[in-house]
Amino acid sequence: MRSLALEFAKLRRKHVLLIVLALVAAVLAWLFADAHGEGRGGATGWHSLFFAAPIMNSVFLSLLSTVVASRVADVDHEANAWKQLLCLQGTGSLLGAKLVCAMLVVALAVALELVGIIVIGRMWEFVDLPTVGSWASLALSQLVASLCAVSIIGAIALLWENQFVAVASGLTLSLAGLFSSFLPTALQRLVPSGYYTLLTTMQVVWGNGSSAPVFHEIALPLLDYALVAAFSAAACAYAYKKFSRREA
Amino acid sequence: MNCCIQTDGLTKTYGDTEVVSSLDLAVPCGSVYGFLGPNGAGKTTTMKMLLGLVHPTAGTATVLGTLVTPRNRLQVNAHVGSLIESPSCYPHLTARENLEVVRSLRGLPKSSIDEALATVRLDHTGSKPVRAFSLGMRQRLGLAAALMGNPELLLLDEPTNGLDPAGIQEIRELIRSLPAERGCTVLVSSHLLSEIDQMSDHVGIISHGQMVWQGPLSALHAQARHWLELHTTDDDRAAQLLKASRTDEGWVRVRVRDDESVARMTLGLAREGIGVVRLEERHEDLEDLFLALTGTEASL
Repeated sequence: MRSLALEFAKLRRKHVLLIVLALVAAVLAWLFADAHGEGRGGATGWHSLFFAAPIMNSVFLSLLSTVVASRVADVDHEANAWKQLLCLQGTGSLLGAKLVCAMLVVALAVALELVGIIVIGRMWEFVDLPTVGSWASLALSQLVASLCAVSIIGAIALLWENQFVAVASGLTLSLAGLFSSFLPTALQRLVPSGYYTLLTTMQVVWGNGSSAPVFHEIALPLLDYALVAAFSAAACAYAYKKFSRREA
Repeated sequence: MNCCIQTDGLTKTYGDTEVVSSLDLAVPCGSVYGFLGPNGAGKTTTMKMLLGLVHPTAGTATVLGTLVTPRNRLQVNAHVGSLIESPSCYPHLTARENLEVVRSLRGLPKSSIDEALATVRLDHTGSKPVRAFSLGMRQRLGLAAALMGNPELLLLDEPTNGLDPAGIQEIRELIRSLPAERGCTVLVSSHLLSEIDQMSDHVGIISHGQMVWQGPLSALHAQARHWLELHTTDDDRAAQLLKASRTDEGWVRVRVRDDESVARMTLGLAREGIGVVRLEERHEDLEDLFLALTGTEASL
């Protein structure tokens, strides 16, 4: 807890909250436009929001994960603080605190986004409010996908002092997330930011001679959860191994 | 001699380059040990190995009676304060907020921040972020962080870098007073001879990664050669009679002897009709000794 509190203390005046608010606002603005298209009292309004949010998140939440992971690492690069920290703090505790800190910031963004979705849905008087399970599933899918992005970008940000490498990688991830939905599932699984949509339980079917999408919920995609957990664990283990061997 | 730092054949190699070579360092407890050497001699690498930040290729380091290993690094460093190379400062935070990081990691009371800030005279900086600090102020902040919690051992790598002359003097006095006032041992590195001469009571001279001399500073001074230089009414004849050499400035240089020999020499010259105009005692200074020991310029 002490290490985690220190990470937040180090981020003071780094405007992280402002970045969170800006990116969540961007996602909500898009979702608001989507809700507008559904019309007041739309029967599939909530489904549409649940389907659109992960698509937006594959761009914006992966971007936020990049910025936060980079900030959390860069704050110590900038301060030339690794020597001091590693004299007094274990590598595992230090890197673990950074990961948890970044994830808590992303969790705040996800929570704000969910609140925003409820507000939008209520404003447009959508019927059949999704169950708590559906909300939890949406939140979990976005958090786990973000964990993967934070782990990968965090590892890059730790190992390369020049944050251009981390930010460029994050932007690539963000763009890849945008287009990954158009890829076959097997290929989409190779794109870390593709998991924002892969992990969601809300799916859509187009066609049947109608232009209207047909939404349906599927069971938790456990294989994809396992894959993304493996990606995240591999990134964390690689960062830990490389970082702990590095001499300050 | 009770040593707070003892290394045995400490060696660090990067590729084919041996940066530190079989170093046997012995820092007596309660001393200010000046670790002297030209730039690139291996001082910083040695200090990093003592802190466990760099892993030795061979040899061991014992700090405060404990053999330093990657596993016990944190336990050892809990009693060690350090300032290695440039100070660690979060530029967007204030001095107090920066020290709060160290305080929290060391588990110290809040009052330790005020104490450390007052010691380095940064207690007036208030809400000013460290990015607005001068290089000297940052160096003071680094020193404050190292001093927090009254560590038993302080490792200071060129601590007066970037300070103005008044600040340099102030920090030197502070370092010199630490063993008596706080009971700590200080290992301070520098490439400046005069600095080490003013602060330390023990000295280790490192050159190309090897310890070339180590011991009390007084013993180093005692190694200095002494001689007499004189001007006479006939320097050529005086040099001939005394079988002495001449300096570039024309002085007659003779090896220093006891007072009786000097008296006999001057009387002898007088008997030959040569008047002694000036007679001065000279000795090697620390810079000459350093030059002789390291084969480099005195201060690089």
